[in-house]
Amino acid sequence: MPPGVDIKCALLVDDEPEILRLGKVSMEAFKGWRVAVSAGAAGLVERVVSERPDVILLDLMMPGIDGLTALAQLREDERTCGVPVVIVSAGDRPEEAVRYRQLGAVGIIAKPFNPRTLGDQVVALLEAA
Amino acid sequence: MSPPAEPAAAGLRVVMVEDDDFFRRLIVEALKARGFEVTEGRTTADAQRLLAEVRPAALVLDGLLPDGNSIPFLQRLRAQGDQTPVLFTSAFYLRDRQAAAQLRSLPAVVTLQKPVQAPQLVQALENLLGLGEPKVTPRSLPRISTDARTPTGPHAAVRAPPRVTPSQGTPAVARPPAADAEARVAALTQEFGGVLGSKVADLRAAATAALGAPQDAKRMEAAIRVAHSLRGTAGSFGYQGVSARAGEVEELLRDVLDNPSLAGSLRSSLEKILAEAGQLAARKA
Repeated sequence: MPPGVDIKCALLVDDEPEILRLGKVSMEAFKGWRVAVSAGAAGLVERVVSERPDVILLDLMMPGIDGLTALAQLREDERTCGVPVVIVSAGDRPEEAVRYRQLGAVGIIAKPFNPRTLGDQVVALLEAA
Repeated sequence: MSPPAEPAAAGLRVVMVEDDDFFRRLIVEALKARGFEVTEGRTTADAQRLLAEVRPAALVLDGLLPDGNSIPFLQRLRAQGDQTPVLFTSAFYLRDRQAAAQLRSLPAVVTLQKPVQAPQLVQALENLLGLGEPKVTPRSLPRISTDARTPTGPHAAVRAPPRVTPSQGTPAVARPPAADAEARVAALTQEFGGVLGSKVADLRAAATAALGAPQDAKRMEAAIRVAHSLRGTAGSFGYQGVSARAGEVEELLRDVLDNPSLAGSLRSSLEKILAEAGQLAARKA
């Protein structure tokens, strides 16, 4: 995505309801984006097709379908392979960041995140991609 | 050209007593923007002193302060003859039937359920002081509720704030977007603080069970997931101490997952970390 990214809608995927609420309020209130949320990765491809988000924020450690499996599914489907995915994870090992990028994520935002700068971090990652 | 009209609250002195520094700053800024002169405190002792020093038009008082429950303080205040109108805010006392009844028995006390956003608190205070008509728009605002009632006694003329429900919407008090965003985050943060203790209790249960059966990899992984989740969630809400302890628990459990024979020797370490997390959560809540 070129510099000066224009995000109108973000899709936040996380199994923690508190994180969904905080992330939604954060990006809606500070950035003015529409924020759709998903409490898991089941059916994520179809959700992305229907919501048409400009970016997906994806948690990794989720019950059922984990984040990496979901990322692979998104990348394999021609309808969703072009949607940027940002991993939001409490994992902080550098080798993990490299691996996620190899798998198609544009970047990683570490948990805990700062709700005041979450949207700015997303924009910065997309501009750098 | 005529000069702009002064805010109705221009020059009115208010004492704001709240120990959550972040939330207090948000509210103070919102009140100042409406023309109030605000003096801040963090304890009931501060409240007692500032009431005498400032002689404010109203007191905004949090329900639980570092030096105790604010309700006995309010009862003493009224018994001493001080009838300063009070906007009493609390995350949990207002859900307690006995506490709510005690507050209802006090004159010129209006209650406001936390979490609350800055515009709602300002509106409630302005209504308490009889500054203008309550303004509401049809815009929906979930999660905000007030326990509003008409004060009795010497301040019976003071109007209670409107009951704000999702069907009635939010008061139309113009605020800078950033302030609104901060207020929304602060409200969520306070709400999460109220359940932080139960989150730590969940972690304790999961981690203790896992350490009791170190060969059970599924149970250990489930406990790791709970710790991992609390680490990320608590930290994102700003409860960094609890987040750090959850991270320590996660690392400890991962060590045991890799080497179950460590379980016995790490039990006391786990207890210590969980105890600290529990204390931090209790303090924050």
